[in-house]
Amino acid sequence: MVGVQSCDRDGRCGVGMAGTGAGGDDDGALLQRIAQSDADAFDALYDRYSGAVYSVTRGMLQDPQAAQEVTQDVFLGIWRGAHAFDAERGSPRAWILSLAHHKSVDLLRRSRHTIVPLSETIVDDADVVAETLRKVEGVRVQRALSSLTIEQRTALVLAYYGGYTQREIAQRTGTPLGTIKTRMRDGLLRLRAVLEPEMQEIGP
Amino acid sequence: MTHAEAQELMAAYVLNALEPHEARVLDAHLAECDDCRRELEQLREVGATLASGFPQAAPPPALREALLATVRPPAARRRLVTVGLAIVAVGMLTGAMILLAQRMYRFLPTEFDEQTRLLALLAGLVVIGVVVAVMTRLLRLVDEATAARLQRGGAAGAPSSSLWLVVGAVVIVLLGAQVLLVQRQNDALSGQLDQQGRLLALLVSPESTTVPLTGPVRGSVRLVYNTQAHEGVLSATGLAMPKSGSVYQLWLLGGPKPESAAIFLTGPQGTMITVLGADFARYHAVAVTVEPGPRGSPQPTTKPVLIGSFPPGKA
Repeated sequence: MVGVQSCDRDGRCGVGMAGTGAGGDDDGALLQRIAQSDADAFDALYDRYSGAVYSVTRGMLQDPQAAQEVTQDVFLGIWRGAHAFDAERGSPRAWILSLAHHKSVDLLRRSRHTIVPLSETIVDDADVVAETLRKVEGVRVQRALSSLTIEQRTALVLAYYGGYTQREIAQRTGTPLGTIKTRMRDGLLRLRAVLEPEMQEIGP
Repeated sequence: MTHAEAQELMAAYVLNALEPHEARVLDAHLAECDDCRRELEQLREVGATLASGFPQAAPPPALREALLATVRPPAARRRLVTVGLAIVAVGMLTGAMILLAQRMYRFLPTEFDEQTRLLALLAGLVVIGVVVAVMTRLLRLVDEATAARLQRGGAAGAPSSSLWLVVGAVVIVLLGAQVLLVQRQNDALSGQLDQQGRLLALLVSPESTTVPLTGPVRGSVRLVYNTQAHEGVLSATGLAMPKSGSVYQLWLLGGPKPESAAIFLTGPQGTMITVLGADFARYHAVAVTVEPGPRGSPQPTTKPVLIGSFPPGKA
């Protein structure tokens, strides 16, 4: 069984798995127990996901101290907000990683407004994308991204790894917002098409 | 937000690339749109794959300790507080029930024997138990209705735990029982006060006549009566109890046959006081015999142990 903790260097982390680890309960059951203040379930969920969450926060923020704080914030958010998890909107794993990404992006945006706007330090779009992509190490993700058009890739990379809003990206690239929306959507669907066979391959 | 607009924003939503207010509007649409939730579910998995592109690393162990320390103590403390409160509540309820049982027992008519009174007490407690169960059920219904209304109103509301409902029901029943007991005691006390007032008036009235009773038994016994009020008081001090199973019986003499006026026993130090109602003008003497208990006899079966004659002038 491919556990989340055993992600390899390509970032193959058992995508699409329910995450039934040694603890017995699946992730959904753990979240239900956490919603009822079950500290043991929280303990088990932390062991399962702390690595994945910390990898996201550290990757996004490029700062171990800030990454730790956000990771702590993410898990406290899970402890207090587990009842808000809705299985109809995605797997527990996708929800947790989205939470980690969201909180990292929040911090990134706050510090960006208070320190130096990234848009003023790096002038060229291609540079920004290249710079941002240095955060990404997984060969599988890199390969999937390379299957996109340059425009789609720019929009997705700036949004997800750069932490920019669709409006900021439209502004930066001098592209109409509607076009950015379309590129993001097409890019994600394309990624899904590329990744899906792999997901099923390593899925349960 | 139209469905088409929602579909347009879904990708940015998954990438966390929406402004906060846009995300909120989409959230609201998602709550109502099954199709959108299905699509979100799939796109989120792609988002999770993007998340796996970062170099993998483990957080320092100290973070785990810090988080678990935040999470565990409150839960443990909560459990402790709950158990503590439950113990206190059960203790208080037990105490209250014992007090109530004692008061009920004291209130039972003394002419019943010990066993009957205990059975009556037990029956009373069973009735109280049934009432508590019914009250708990009613409170549960009210509580659930309130919780449901709160939830519809948007506020969080959950039915309370059964323990608190039972405590609430018991408190209500105990308070009700207490009010009833106090009411009855009050009635009884005012009746007693009334009687004592009449008794005092009788004893001090110049119209009253005092007749000492004498005979073979030791003790000071006398009858005070008032012919106008048709009332009398028989009192005794230092009068020994009759032999076990027997009672004293007071007879009024004057008619064709002795008439039973009272049956009595004596208390500590041989004291006794009892109120009589009779037309004393019709009699010329009283006598006390020892008769089989507890109901005495229709006519005297033994020789009088005490006799008192009324003064001729007053009769």
